[in-house]
Amino acid sequence: MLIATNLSKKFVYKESKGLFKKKLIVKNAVNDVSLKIESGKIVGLIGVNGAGKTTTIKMLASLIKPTTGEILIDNLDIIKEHKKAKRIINLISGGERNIYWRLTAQENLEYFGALYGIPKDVLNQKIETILEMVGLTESKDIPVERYSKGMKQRLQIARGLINDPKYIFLDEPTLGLDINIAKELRSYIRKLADDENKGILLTTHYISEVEELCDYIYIISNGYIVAEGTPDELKEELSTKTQVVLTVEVLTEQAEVELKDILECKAEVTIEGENIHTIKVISKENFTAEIIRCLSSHNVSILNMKLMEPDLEEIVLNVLRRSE
Amino acid sequence: MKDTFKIVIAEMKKQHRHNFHSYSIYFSLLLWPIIIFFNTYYTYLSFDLTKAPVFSGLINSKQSLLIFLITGFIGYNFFYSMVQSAWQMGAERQNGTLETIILSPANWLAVVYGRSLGALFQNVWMFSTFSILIIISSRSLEVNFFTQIPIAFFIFTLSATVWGGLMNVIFLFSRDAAILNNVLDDPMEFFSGVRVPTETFPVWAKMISVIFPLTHSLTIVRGILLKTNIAWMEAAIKLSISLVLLFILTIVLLKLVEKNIRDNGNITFY
Repeated sequence: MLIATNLSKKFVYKESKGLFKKKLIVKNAVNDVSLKIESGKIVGLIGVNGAGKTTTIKMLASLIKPTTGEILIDNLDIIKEHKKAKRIINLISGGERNIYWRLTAQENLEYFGALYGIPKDVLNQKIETILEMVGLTESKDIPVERYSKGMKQRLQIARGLINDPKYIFLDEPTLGLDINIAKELRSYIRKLADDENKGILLTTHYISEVEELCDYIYIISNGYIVAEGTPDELKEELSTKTQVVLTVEVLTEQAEVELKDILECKAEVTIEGENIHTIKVISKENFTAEIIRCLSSHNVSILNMKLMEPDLEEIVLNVLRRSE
Repeated sequence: MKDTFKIVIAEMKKQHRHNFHSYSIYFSLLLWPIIIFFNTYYTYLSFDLTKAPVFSGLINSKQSLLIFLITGFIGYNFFYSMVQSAWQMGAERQNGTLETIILSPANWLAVVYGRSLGALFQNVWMFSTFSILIIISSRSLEVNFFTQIPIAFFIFTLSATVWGGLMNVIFLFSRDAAILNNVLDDPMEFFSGVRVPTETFPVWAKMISVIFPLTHSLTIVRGILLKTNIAWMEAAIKLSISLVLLFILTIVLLKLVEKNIRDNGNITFY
């Protein structure tokens, strides 16, 4: 398991103030962040731009050293033993950078594999398997500059798997990809966790991606973790509203009064229409059972019913708004 | 050690594949050195050299002048081509590939020397071409090519690789390191005696020339090819000291740059 405890990162840089003056600026990019990644699980780290996601991921990938805190991967202190740690982790960033465009996919992977000291015969076998996995076998000898965006991103994934890492950090892996390729990549990421037992940390701006993939989520804002939990836990704890919309026939006055009595001070009720009524109930808790019971007792026919649960995007937005 | 060697070879291969993807590049590389070489040669020839102080000792005939200049240009181009890999560090930063290299557990020293040696293919080609010029121009001189030219090649390769390694580390520090290269490159060409023998320099210039390993490499190589009575041991010791000091400096700077990158995370700035 990867356990990061109380990670903080302070950047100190100089800013020009006039021709000769320079001012030292201290920026706390990440503050007291703690998180865990289990093998075979996908953990999401979400937040707006500048929230501290990339700094966190770079600390976990041993690219930058935390100012304070501890990171253990299977009991290995990766701050002290960062060279050892680099053998069991890898980082895959979204976009078209981080690979050599003039080289072919095969040449890129040969080079990056050699950096990990993988023996040539093992490396060749591995390259073949990985290219097959990401569907680039047929185009492996074409220079990367002739690849489409999706192919480049798949090569990035292949590169990130070259050392068979136990933990993979995915920094916005579907950025700018079209929906088909993004979907394909998501299913591939799920496979990595389920079939290959990789522990994955995913940062993304697409909440639907988080909802689809993540077993656990951390929400980061201004360098602090402001909420965490499984998608269901977050919805339950942080949701502000559940919406029930019913279409009913012949809503009697008595039924309407009783319904409003039941939900008084608990929910916001709107009733519209004449013969066919639309009842909209917005509440923090789910009162569906009470509503159905009340309508049934007055013999009101329910033609249609929709339960709209809180979506994660709204929850995240609320959390972020509150934390500002 | 095996891993380190593997990284050096991988880095050399990558540099070669990335930079020399067409044969025309090899020919274009020769163009400027040859033009500058002939420009210098004919500049010398436009004066009555027999009356010039430079026309004594090392250079005492047109052939020896030609060999003097050819060796100067070969040496300088060896150094220059290995430094070019350092210039390309900016592109590696911009493309994010430098960050990907740092993400791996690869030995950084192996990476910088691999980058430096990446120009070896180019140098073999350039050296071979200039060697033909030496053969043509040295008919009246007793030059034993089978033993002397490989020695000259080895000396240039070794010293230029050490120099290139240092330049690569310097470029890891900052995207603005090109300034330092500008400060070092032209003075190296002048003070190392690429076109003018260092013996004709005033004392202060001679003192500066000692800093550059190219000076000592050229002294030894010219000594070998022109069969002059140079103090072999002295030149070899000077070159060895210079290379050892540069190697130590490379390791120290590498430690500092590694710390700097890990502390500031500025490797992707460009």
